[in-house]
Amino acid sequence: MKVLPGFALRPLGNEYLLIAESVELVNFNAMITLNESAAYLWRNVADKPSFDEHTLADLLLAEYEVLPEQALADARKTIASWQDAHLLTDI
Amino acid sequence: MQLPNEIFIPEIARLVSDGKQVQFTPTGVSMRPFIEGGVDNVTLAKPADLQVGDIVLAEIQQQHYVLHRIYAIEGDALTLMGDGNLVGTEHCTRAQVLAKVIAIHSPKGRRKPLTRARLWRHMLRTRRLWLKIYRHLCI
Repeated sequence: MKVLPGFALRPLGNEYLLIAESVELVNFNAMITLNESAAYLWRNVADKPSFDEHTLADLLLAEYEVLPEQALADARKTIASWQDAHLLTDI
Repeated sequence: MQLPNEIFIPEIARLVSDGKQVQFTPTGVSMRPFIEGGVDNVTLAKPADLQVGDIVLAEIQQQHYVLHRIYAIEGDALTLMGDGNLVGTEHCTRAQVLAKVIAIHSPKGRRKPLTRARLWRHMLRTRRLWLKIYRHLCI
């Protein structure tokens, strides 16, 4: 899978907004908030041609002190939430 | 999802002053029948000029924002009013206007007419009746 193009990550307060954004128009109707770790994951896969749950788990293990099983569980949860928000596409 | 105004509106103002257009769905009923809060979405842009009849986003007091129509301009002083309000106006200066509405869309993507609402602005005495009819027919 990979992320859909056209989303920009904007810090706001303690969180990050993922907003559908073109050069001219920022659409707050298509927006979700990400916490710090979700934003970290997004930043690191946004340019990847493809990734899966193991990619995200490895990123979490590199950045946070978590057990591998927890990292994989969190990666799966993150992918599920991104799928619900229609941010991903199968290649 | 809903962001608090004190975070959301300054972000809109910053994007608009950077030259971007911003789209969002405002809440509230104060701009009926022209904007149905929670339903219609508006597109905002940097105002090149301001005229009576424009719908603007303004900071009328610190961290207190309205999306209302300009009903009068006297030099630097603007009088704003919600089209869906029966009484009550707000006052601000030109500098307090953050953005101007350049388009209104229904949820299905249909563009709603953006007029100066001259007739509506002058129909204050019968407004209550027209809003009642609108609520019955359209909501």
